[in-house]
Amino acid sequence: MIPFIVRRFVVLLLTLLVVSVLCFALPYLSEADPARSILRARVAELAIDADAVEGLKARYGLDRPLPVQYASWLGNVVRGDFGYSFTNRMPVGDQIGSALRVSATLALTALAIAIIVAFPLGAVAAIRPGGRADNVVTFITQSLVALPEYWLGPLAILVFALHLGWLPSAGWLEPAHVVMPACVLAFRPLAYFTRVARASMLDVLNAPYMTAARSRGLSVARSIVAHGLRNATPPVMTLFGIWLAGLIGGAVVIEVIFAIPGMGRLVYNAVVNHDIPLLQAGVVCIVALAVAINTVADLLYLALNPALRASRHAG
Amino acid sequence: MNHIPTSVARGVLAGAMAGAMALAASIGSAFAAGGKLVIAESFPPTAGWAMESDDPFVLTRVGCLEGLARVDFEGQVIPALATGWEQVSPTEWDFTIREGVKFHNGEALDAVAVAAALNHVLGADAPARSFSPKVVASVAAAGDMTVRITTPSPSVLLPLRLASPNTGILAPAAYAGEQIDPVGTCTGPFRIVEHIPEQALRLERNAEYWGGDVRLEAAEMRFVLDGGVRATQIRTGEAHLSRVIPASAIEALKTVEGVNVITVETARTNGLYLNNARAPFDNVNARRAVQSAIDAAAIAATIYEGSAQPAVGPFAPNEPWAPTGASGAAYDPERAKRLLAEAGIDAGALDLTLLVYTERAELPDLAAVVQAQLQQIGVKAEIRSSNWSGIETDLYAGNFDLFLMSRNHLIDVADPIAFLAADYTCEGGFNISNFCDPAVDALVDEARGTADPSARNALYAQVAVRLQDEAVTVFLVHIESIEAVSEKVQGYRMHPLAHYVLVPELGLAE
Repeated sequence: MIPFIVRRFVVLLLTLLVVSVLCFALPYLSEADPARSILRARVAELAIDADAVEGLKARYGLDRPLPVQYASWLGNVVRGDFGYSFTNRMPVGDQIGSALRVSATLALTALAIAIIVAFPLGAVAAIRPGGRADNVVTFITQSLVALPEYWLGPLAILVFALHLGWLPSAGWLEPAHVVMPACVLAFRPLAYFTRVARASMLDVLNAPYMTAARSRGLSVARSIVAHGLRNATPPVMTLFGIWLAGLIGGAVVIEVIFAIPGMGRLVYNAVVNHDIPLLQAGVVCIVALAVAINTVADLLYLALNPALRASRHAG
Repeated sequence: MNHIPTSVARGVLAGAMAGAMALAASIGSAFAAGGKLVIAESFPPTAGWAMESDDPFVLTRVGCLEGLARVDFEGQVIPALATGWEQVSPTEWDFTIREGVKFHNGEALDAVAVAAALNHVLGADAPARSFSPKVVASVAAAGDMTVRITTPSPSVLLPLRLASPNTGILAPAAYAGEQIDPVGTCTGPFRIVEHIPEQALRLERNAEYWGGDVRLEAAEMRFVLDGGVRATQIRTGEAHLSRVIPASAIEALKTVEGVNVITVETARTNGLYLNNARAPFDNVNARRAVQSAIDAAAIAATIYEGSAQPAVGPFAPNEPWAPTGASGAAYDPERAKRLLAEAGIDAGALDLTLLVYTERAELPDLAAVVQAQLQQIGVKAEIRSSNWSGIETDLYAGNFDLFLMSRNHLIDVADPIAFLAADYTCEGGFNISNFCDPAVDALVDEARGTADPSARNALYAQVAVRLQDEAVTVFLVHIESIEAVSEKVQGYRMHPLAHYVLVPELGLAE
C-alpha cells in the first residue's frame, strides 16, 4: 500500500509541474494582449487608451520575458501566494477558496442525490433483467444522459420556481438555493451510477454463492443489501471520484444559469477577462484536485476490494 | 434468477419520490421578496470597486455613491454634493461643497475629502476616460468647502466629468486598503449593510440623508447573469425590478399581471462600419449603395424583436444632440444598384470582408442578415467572426471592408464629444472607418470650446447629418434598454444613462 501511495504522490507532483507550465503558458499563446483585455474587462469599452496599456504592463510586469514571469509566479505559488487578480485586485487564493467551497457543496450534493437514487434504481433494474422495471430504468437513464443542462436548468426554473413556487429560481444565499441546481446536476451522474450499480448487482445476484445463500433462506432484499450493494460500491466509488473532479470545475453552465459563484464560473470569467493570475491558479487547483480525488478514489477502491489488495500485495 | 416482489420495487421508488417532494414542499414559499425592494441586476461589480472601472455605476444605481454633480432624469447636469460651480479662469473651475453632508460612517464631507477622492481616481494605473490626467491637471482644496480643479487646456465639459459615477466621492477610509471599501463610506440615500461577492448587495435607508426623506426601508440588489432568469424572477415575485431584459422575454412578460415592461433608448447604436480609406468604400456612392441596400427596419423587427429602433444616424431621435427631424436612409435595393453602376463598380466583381466580433451575441446573426441583403444587390461579402481580440489587429491595420460594431457614444461623460473625436476626426484614436473630413474636425473643435450646451448640441447635430449624408458608417439600429417592474414599485423611472435605480422617492406598496 505504501509504495503505491508514494508512487501516486510522485505522479501527482510531476503532473502538477507539467500542468503549471501549461497553465502559465496557455494564456500567452492567444493573440490577445493581456493588458488590453484587462482594461476592457474593467471598463467594458472597446477603444483602449495606449498609455493605459503601457502603464498596466509595467504595473503587472507583463513586459518581462515569459520564463522570468513563470519563475516568479511558480516561486510565489509554492509559498501559497497566488497573487492578486488583474481584474478585481482581490487575492486570488481567497477567491479560489470561496469558489471551491461553493463548487464542492454543489458537486457533493448532486453526487449524493445521484448515489441515493442510483442504488435503488440499479437494484430494481437488476432484479428482473429485461423486465418492465428494467426497461423503464434503462429508458430513464438513457434519457437523462441525453438531456443538456442548458435546457434542463431553465425548464426546472419554470416548473419549480415559476409554476409551483417551491424553490427559488437562482442565487446562492440560503440552503434552498442548492436544491434545484444540485438536482439538475445530479441527472447525468445518476444515469451512469445506475448503469454501473445495475451491472454490479446483476453479477452478484447471478453468482453461485448467492444461489447457495438464497437456498439457505436469505431473502432477496437482504441479499441485495448485504452483497449487491457491497459489490456495486467500488465501481460506483471510482465513478464518483471522476464525476466529483469533473463537476468541481466543470459545472459552468449550471453556475451561470443559477447564478452560483463556483469554480466553473470563476475560471470562465477569468478566461473572458484575460485575468491571467486567476486563470492560472484556477486551472492548477482544478487539475490538482482532480488528481488528488482520483488518487483517493483509487485508494478507497483498493481498501474496499480485498481481491485487488491481495494481488497488489502479491505483486 | 432471483426476483424481488414488484411491490418492493414500487415502494422504493415511491419512497424516494415522496421524500424529494416533501423536501421541496417544506422549503417552499419562503422566497418571496418580503418587505424590501429586490432588484435583479445583470452587471456584478468585477473590479474590486475600483473607481476608474464600471463598478461605481453599481454603487450609484443602489443609491450609495454620489458625486459633486449628477445627470438628472432629463439628461441635464445638476448639482449634487456640490451646490454650484464657476469657471474662474479658462483652465480653472471652483466647486462649492454642500454644507452638512455626512458620509455613512458619520464623518463630515469637506473639500479635503473631496480632493482626496478625486486625486485617487486621477492617480489610477489606468485612469477613467472621464477623469484622467489628459483632461484634468490637478485637484486641490481651495478652502474648507471649495475645491479647485485645473484642466490642462480650456475646457467647458468639466461639470459633466464630475457627474460621472467614476468621480463619485467616498470617505477617506474607503481608500485605506488594497481595495476600495464602499461600506460606510458613501453619502447617498442608501447605505450598504452587506456585500456578498458575486451574489448581492444588501442596503438599508440612510435616515440622515442630506437630500431629505428616503421612502424605502431596505433594498437588495441581486446579481443574476442570465437574462432569462432575471425575466423569470419578476414573474416568481423574487424580484420587484429586473434590469436588462432580453428581447426574447418581452412578449411573455407583457402578459403577466402586475408587471410592467418599460423601455428607454440607450446611448448605443449598432452600425456597419465601412473602411473609407480603401476601394470600394473610398467612393461615397459605394457607401451610399450599402446604406440603401440594408433594411434597418427589418433588422430591428427580427434580430432585435422590437427592442431596437431603426437608426436615423449616430444618435437616437430623443437625444438632445440628434438632428431635428432626422430620418434613416430608405431601403431601396434598386437605388443601391444604380449608385454602384454610377460609381463604375461591378457589384459581381466585389469580394468584401465583413468582420464581426462575438462578444455581443446578436452580432453574428446580424452579420448573416447584412450578408444576405448585400447579396440582393449582387455584392458578395465573406463573414469573418471572432472574439474581439482575434479581429482587433486587422481592425486597427485597416484590413477589412465592413465591420459590425455596437458602439456606445457617451464613452466618458454625458456628452458625445469624446465619441465623435475618437471615431470620426482625422487623428481620432478609434477611427476604425479611416474617415477624415476637415469640416467634421472643425465642427468637433468648435464644440470643444462651446460652453452653452444648446449651441454645442447643434454642432453635434451638424456632424451627425454629415456622417449620415456621407454614409461614413451605415447606422443600423438604436438599442433600447428594457426593464420589467412590478406594479408594487412606486415612483420608479428609468434613468437615461442607467446611473440611478434606488432613489429617495422610490416606494414599495404593501
